[in-house]
Amino acid sequence: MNRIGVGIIGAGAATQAIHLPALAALGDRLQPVHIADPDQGVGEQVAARVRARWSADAQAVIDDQAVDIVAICSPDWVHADQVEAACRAGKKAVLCEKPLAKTEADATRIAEASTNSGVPVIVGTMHRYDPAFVAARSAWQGFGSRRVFVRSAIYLPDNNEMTSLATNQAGSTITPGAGPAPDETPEATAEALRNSVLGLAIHNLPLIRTLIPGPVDVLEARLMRPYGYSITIGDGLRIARLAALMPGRWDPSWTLEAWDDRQHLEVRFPPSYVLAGSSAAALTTQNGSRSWRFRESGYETQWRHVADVAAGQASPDVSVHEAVADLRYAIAIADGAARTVLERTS
Amino acid sequence: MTASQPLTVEFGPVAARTVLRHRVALASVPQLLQEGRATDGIRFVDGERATWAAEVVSAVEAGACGVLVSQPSCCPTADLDKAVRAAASSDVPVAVALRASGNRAFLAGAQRTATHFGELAIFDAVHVIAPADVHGAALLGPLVDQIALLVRMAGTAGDLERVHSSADGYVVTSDVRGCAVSMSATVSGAGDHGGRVDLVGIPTRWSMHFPDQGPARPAEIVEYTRDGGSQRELIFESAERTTWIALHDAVRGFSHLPLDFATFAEYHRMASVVLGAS
Ligand SMILES: NC(=O)c1ccc[n+]([C@@H]2O[C@H](COP(=O)([O-])OP(=O)(O)OC[C@H]3O[C@@H](n4cnc5c(N)ncnc54)[C@H](O)[C@@H]3O)[C@@H](O)[C@H]2O)c1
Repeated sequence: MNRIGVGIIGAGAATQAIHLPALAALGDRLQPVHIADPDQGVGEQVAARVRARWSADAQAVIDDQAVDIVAICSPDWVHADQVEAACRAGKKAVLCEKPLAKTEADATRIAEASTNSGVPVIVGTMHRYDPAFVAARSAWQGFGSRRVFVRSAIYLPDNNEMTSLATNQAGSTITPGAGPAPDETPEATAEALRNSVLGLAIHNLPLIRTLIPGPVDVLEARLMRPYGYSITIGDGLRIARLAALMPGRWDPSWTLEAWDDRQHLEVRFPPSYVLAGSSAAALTTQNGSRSWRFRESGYETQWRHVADVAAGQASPDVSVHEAVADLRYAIAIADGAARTVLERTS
Repeated sequence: MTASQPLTVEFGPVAARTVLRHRVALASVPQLLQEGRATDGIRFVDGERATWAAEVVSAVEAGACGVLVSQPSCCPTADLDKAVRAAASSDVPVAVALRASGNRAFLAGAQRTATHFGELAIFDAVHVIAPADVHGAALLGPLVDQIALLVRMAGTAGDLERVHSSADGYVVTSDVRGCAVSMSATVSGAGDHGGRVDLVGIPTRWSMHFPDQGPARPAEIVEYTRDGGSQRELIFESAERTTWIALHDAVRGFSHLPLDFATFAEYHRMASVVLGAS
């Protein structure tokens, strides 16, 4: 089998702790060949570890003929430009870390770039690919069709605790909320809340969207310090409670639960960064429970899928239009939550 | 009545489904309580009946030494006030079975949690209710239970705000000393009913899972700190059995009820007002 060349843009924590180990887990099929990062110290070191080339400039990776798949692991605000450039270059596939973009306009731009170029764009919301979640999801009867109550609870320790178990990181891990106390003006609070939705809630929101398709209203929202949120969304019939807090000094807990009139879905995800297998998912009805757990994590399953898509063996499980719809859903919630904060303080 | 003889429990009009689980609980405490007929014994009142508060008054006036109300539904404030006054003036303990706030494992550690309440950022509670347990227009019982749980730890429930309310569930929020409180409920026939509560602060986090009333499944209450998780004692006792024993002990004067009737009535009123059921 021909190896598929992978170019990675951004050599920080996500690349080192998640993507390089996940690529290694898939054996010879995918080969990191070129890594870009403007930070030479980090970029060169990370590239050398996998015998890949290093460039300071992302465009050098995109222009590299040996690169079939571009993985975009740079800071959020450059994702849209880099996805667009990779599509323009006619790559076989793009894997873009979450969030795909941070504005509606950028989301539209990405959808157009992917459609016009025919380059598949896949978003790194790994829980969407988690094999236990996927199995439980397909066992759930009538997704999006009934009254439902969802509870998403994400309680995480400092990112360093997980990245240090996943890699010997070159450079430092940034943990949201671990820095100095931020400015507490209403505008800063609203912006921090928006960022926490697009940074953390974004993992569960595509899953929630399959249960509550939207449009949804933000019924109440609060920012949690150091980092997190407490938000209720709903469409009149269906309700979701979203809570998150980090960095705590305790074991991680990442759950998604949903109830309708006859089913209960419970998914316990492992924390980010580590390749700790799939979630533990269970579906309970009046007739008892079924549960799923697999050896492979959502990160590995996602990369396997990206490889299949790049090799023309599969079309994306989540089309770019679906991914953009997921993003619009998340942006609407992030904006709605930010508005709630501003209205409360005005 | 003498201390060595079991107290007599008399059931008023009650749904067969409800009486069954209470009979199971009584069968587990034969030395303390026994079903029979006696106006000066303990009276069981089915809270699903719209007239339950008036039935408490009648039982007290007829000379009952204690009353147990199961799953109290919405009732007029005046009736509830009258029942509270009747119980107080005759000094008759009136107990209500609540699945979470009356749980023994919870109560045993509630003080410890209370001392850490100031460090909490999130109090997130959800009760999952079987369709058969939904009666009246509102899901008052679960909210009363959640309020009782919150006040036990925080000392107050804060200003409750209704975020969502329907026949199938609610979301109520408040702010208690900077902690974002959310109390919600949903009706589901999926099984695995009961209450879940997450209490989350940066140094400490608690995860609580209260089983449904009826079975003697233990509550799972785990405290997480930097040293890992430590689980409170697993007590294989139904909420009904716990309540019957507490009521027995209160009638005998051994101890007080964990939630006295006047306080229950106050929470009931708060829940009614916020759910728009009063
Ligand atoms: N899926 C997950 O579980 C997960 C986990 C962590 C982060 N992420 C996502 O991955 C992305 C990267 O996060 P991170 O934690 O690795 O951040 P990081 O800050 O650790 O790393 C980002 C790297 O990008 C480099 N960079 C800055 N500007 C660049 C540019 N214009 N082009 C190329 N590289 C540039 C920086 O020098 C840095 O090395 C973010 O979008 C984040 O949301 C996803």
